[in-house]
Amino acid sequence: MPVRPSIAVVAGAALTTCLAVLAAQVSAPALRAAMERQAASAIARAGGAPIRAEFTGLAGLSSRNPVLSGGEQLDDATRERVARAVARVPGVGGVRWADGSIRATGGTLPLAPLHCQEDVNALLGARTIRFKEGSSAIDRGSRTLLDEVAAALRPCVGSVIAVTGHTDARGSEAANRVLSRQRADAVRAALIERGIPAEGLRARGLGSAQPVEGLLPEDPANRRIEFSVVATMPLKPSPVDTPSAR
Amino acid sequence: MPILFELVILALAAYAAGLGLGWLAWRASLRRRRR
Amino acid sequence: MAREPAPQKEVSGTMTELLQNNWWVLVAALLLGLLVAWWIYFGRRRTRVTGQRRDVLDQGADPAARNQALIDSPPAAPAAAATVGIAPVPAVPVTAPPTAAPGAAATGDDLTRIKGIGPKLRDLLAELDVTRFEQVAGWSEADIDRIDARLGRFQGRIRRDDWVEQARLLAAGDTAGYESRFGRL
Repeated sequence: MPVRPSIAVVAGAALTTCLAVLAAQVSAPALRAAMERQAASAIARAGGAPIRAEFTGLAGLSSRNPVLSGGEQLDDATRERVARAVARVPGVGGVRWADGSIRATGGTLPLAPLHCQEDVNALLGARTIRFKEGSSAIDRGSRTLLDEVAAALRPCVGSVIAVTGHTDARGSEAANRVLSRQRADAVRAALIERGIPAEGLRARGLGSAQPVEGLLPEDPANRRIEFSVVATMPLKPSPVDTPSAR
Repeated sequence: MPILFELVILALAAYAAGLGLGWLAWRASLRRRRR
Repeated sequence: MAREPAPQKEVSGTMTELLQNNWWVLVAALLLGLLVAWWIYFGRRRTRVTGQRRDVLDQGADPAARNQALIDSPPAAPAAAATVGIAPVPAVPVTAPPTAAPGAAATGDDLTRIKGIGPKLRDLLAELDVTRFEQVAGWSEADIDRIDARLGRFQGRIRRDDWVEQARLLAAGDTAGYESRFGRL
């Protein structure tokens, strides 16, 4: 048949579209009715009686994304509860409020920020991360210690964790700073390997500027890696994904 | 998005996938013939 | 940023309901796509690909075929002319060649037997008073340039198809030598 291939492709696409439209005409009303029923019962159970869920979208076509209305008199907590209940109905997409602003913040998730700091300090109090002499290569024996440190830091994911390298005062200070920075970087890389996200880890090297309290700067016990949890930034799920009061 | 739009988009995606599979099959048959 | 799994469970806006009811549409669309692809690549192969082949490779096929027919058709006219010199006894063959040579002048050769010369070129050469193989065989470079300039869109043919050599062999009646160099007559 002397038909150009591009015409065949377009014809196929048109046929597919017709098929899909036909199927939608047939199945959409049933789907919508089912969702409306279940949403109504979900609203009733959540105690938001005057609220109604409209499953109408563009141009009046049935949609999976309901618009909730009628909740002006209710408080935010109830509204949020109702929104979550409707969102849990199987098949329902994003929930919107007719009088909402879609600028809600999702609930913040509880974190235990300071526990990490204490856990890590406890770990490092008895043992240190060892490096090869004069280099930033981590000693094999310190691998389990790094695993434990990573496990201790994992609950703080989302905070900023500072990895600081310190040396003793022997040798030139510039070289010490560079070496301490390299060691901190090595530890940071090791933690990233163990699953701590890279955005939260900051590495820096201080050389011998901050010796341990009560020790002389030349004391080799100053050679250490310190961790500090600098800030906790709670994770905020984006409002589009989270049904909430607005 | 309305159900209709979602269905149409899914169907067109499946159509494109079919075209793509057919093209891959043609390329494979070409290779077999060349060899 | 890592997300805790908890908020994900609350949001259930998946399409599974939609898909469960209408999966057949997607299957049909996939099959349709496969069908169209099959039709494009495999269904039209017979007509499409061979059609192109004929165009690209055989641009010179028709004139060559015409040439070949004309070369094949005159029944041994130069062979008869050669035998005239060898065996003058049979008077019939002497009168046969002039009438057998199609469209040539009374004493001329059938120049279309030269590969690359068709009826148009033969008539053109006849206008320039070139009617015999010996004439073509005796062309010097200056002659070739002179005639070439008169050929119009057939310029370059003389040297490209080596008419001089062909004419020399045909004039001598050396069919074996001709066929070994230029292929079948």
